[in-house]
Amino acid sequence: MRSIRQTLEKESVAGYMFILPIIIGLIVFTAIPFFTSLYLAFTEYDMLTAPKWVGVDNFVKMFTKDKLFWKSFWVTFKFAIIQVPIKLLVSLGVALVLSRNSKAIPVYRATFYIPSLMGGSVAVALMWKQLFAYNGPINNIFSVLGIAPVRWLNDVSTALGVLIGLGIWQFGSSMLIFLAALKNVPASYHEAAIVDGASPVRRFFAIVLPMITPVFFFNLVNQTISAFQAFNSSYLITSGKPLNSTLYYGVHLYNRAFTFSEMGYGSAMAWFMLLVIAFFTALIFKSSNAWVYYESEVK
Amino acid sequence: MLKRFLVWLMILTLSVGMVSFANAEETTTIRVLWWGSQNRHDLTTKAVELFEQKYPNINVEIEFTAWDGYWSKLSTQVAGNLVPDVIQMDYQYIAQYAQSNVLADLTPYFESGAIDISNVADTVLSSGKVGEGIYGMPIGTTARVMMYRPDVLEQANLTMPVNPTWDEFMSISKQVYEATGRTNIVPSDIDDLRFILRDYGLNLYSDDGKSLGFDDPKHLVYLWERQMTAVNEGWQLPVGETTALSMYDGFISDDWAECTHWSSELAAFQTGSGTRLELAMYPHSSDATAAATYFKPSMFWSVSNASANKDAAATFVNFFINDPDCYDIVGIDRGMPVSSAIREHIAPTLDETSQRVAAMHDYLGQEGMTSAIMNTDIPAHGEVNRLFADYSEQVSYGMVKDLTAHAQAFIEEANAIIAEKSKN
Amino acid sequence: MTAISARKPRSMKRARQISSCIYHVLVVLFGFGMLYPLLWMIAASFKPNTEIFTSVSSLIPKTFTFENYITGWRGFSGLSFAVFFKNSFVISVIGTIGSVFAAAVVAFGFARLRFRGRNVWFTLMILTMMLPSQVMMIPQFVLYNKMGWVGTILPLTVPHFFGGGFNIFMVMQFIRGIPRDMDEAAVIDGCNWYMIFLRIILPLIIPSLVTVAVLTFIGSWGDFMGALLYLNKPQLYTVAYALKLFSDASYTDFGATFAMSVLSLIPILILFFFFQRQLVEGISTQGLKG
Repeated sequence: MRSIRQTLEKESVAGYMFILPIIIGLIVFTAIPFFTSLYLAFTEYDMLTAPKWVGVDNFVKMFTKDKLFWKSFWVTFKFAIIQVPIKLLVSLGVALVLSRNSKAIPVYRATFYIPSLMGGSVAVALMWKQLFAYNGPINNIFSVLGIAPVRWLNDVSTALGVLIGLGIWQFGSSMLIFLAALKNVPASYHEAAIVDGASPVRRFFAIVLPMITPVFFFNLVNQTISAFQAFNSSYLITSGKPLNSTLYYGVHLYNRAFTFSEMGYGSAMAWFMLLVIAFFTALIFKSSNAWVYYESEVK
Repeated sequence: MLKRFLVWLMILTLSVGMVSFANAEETTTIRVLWWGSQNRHDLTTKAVELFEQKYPNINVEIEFTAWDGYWSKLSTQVAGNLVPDVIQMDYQYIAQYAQSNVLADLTPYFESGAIDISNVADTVLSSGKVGEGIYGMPIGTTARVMMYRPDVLEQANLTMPVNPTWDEFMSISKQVYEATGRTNIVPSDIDDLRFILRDYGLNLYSDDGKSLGFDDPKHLVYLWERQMTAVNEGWQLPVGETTALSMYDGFISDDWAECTHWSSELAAFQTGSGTRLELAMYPHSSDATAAATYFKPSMFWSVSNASANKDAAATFVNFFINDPDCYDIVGIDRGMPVSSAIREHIAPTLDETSQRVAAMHDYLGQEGMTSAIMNTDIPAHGEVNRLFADYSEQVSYGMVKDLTAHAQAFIEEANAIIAEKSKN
Repeated sequence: MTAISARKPRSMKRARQISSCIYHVLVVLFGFGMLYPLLWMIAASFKPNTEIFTSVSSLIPKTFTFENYITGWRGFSGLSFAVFFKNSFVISVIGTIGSVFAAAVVAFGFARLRFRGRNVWFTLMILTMMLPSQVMMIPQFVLYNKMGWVGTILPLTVPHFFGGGFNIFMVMQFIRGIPRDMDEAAVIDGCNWYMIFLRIILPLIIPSLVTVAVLTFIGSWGDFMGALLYLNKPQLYTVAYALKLFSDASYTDFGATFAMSVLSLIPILILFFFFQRQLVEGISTQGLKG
């Protein structure tokens, strides 16, 4: 008995006890589908008949023949590069603004969270289309200001921007995570700084910001991965139009895999995307040593 | 006396017990999957309940989805070997599913009479044909038509012929625009290309399905030129200036006529747009050599090839094609019924809108107004469709100088895609 | 010194009032932009179907009708939305419990303990989240089908107890922000790892677990794909799935869709209100070291 207890208390055993759920999850629920999709990347698979091994054909086709592959890749890249930083700053900014003490705060928070609650629903898609329609509210404001109307969703130079705008506007979940992080900044630190006469701005940069860098780091990784996997806004609002300028990689993948019944090719695309995301995530992780501050690792 | 009574009672209970036991043993369960919206889900469920009453030894498990998601669900179930016994099938997908051995050939059930086709026209029935077998029982028919707003035409003092030529269509559109400011759209997706080709007895794909069914770029040039004329004359809005947000508010916001819909959708579009709409035939070229319009099965019932209860599935299909009681419930929810007896049966119950659809179908049913439906689409259709949309979009953005060369390029690229896909 | 502090409070108070006023005005203004879609949808849900598009930008219905709510609530094939709400509720609650459990426990293991293979498992966990989910759909379905889970709520609930990489990673970041002094003190007091987790870390990570709960519940509540693939019987359909059942290829009952969408937001809004109190004090006065 005693020895079992002692074993369980060893750090290495306890470690595995704690992460046991994810190990079970990875082995039971994830491993087989994950590697099956890797296998499928090397096959031709229409989902109705058994997959046929074709070697690296899918990858060759991807890099050399499929014009929309690179097109959609760059669209997604542009989307991610623009959306992620703006969305992070906006959600952090709003979280800061909504972290003060006031009776109205719960209502405000709910209000700012509503766009994210509504997610990728039909209503949001229709509403956003209507907002940017040729005779919609945005163009109406423009005409009052004497600016010519813009074909927002049908102009190659603006359509992607409209979708990025939608993504930024749904900043709710990262705001929520920042709120939780802000709550964890001990009040005593603030009090000490106030006694020292530090201005709010200085307090933010000297105390708050360093303490929330771990969560900022998480949000950055999270938002980067989901930006590269973006799907809904393009699928529901523009379906890639105009002239494929809003064709996300995810939508192209979906079209290939499901509409054209090329699940093998779709899997190959997915695995290429995994490598791309892994590359950027690795960069973020590497850089994090330089700017993320962990209280627990300060000695 | 009492003793005899008890004996009889025993025999009775025993036999009842045995009957019910036998029944329990013979009860088969079939799964039925369909897509639709609220009305269809409600009506079909009621019809299924009636079916279970009439055939107490068949138990039906229902599953339904919206159109959006249906094919992801079905292909996933196929991949998982969990195919429903009875599947609602669409013309666009039937060839692919039949060729992949997912669907059962229904011919034996026609021959045995399990599915009674004596009241179904051969042309209708053959629309479910893939190769040698028939893999889908058409449930209803529909046809691509023009829907228009009579009130707008009246305002402009014009009338629309039932069977207009493109020239008539274009000139009326221009006059309506001048009189009322209402716009129109020259339909230009791949199904419209099909119509242009069919005017000359051609098909989108060749009979062997290994290439496009035409090589003359002029057909594409016609299509695109018409579209550009409309935009230049002002009666078609340039890309991005339409204010319509969904499929059927075009009739409210800008348009007065649309040629992209199916006759079976009339009620939906009237409800959606809140205006009365009338039907005319899809326009044809004045030098057409063939009838382009065709009856299309609005959907099929197919039976899974892997089903262990094909007989029960066939019984279900037959019920849905021939049982008048079933149609008292479902009406024309899945299109005009394919059985002439059923059409007669429900005729008196049809509302005004449905009657106009029926009248249009009667009109189209006359000799020479329609021709047989083309072969089912090839597996590469999805990709060709997408390619065509891209090429057309470039035209509508004014990016193309030489339409003929553009058309030629499309033909080559499409043929390459088809060749690649039909390799195996 | 005294002179200054005597004058300061009044001017400071006024300045604070003005800034507070500006603050509220600005927040409300932006808030309207945030609220617009909801108002739009609520307005549309009370318009007759024909009016939704004729007066598309109007937030006040010309004809006010409850029809959409009545047709919508009726549901499908004799099952009202009450059934779908119940199903969504059951699935989301179980999933949320699972996610919070997994996130708390696993995050603690990764963030606080040192053991061989830790980085390997962590990397694997992050890596599997990078694969676009569309290509996992079919293999996953095949797997669950072999397990006999298709047609039940198991595929939508059980995996939450064993996964949720994003949640785990997030809670890890919170734990890594907690100084180790208290653990060390606890070890001296004879606490083992399990006691440290339960007594010291768990109370401190409540805000992040609340966030996990809210995010998971909302995600689960809105999950369409899972319901589409795994819930075959209409008796099991969820709200997110049922909302789509108003659309056919050519016809969508937008009125009913919007009406039921409005109703479907109510539970998650209530949940949000209820739980965000945990994050409400803003700058914390409790927790961590004083």
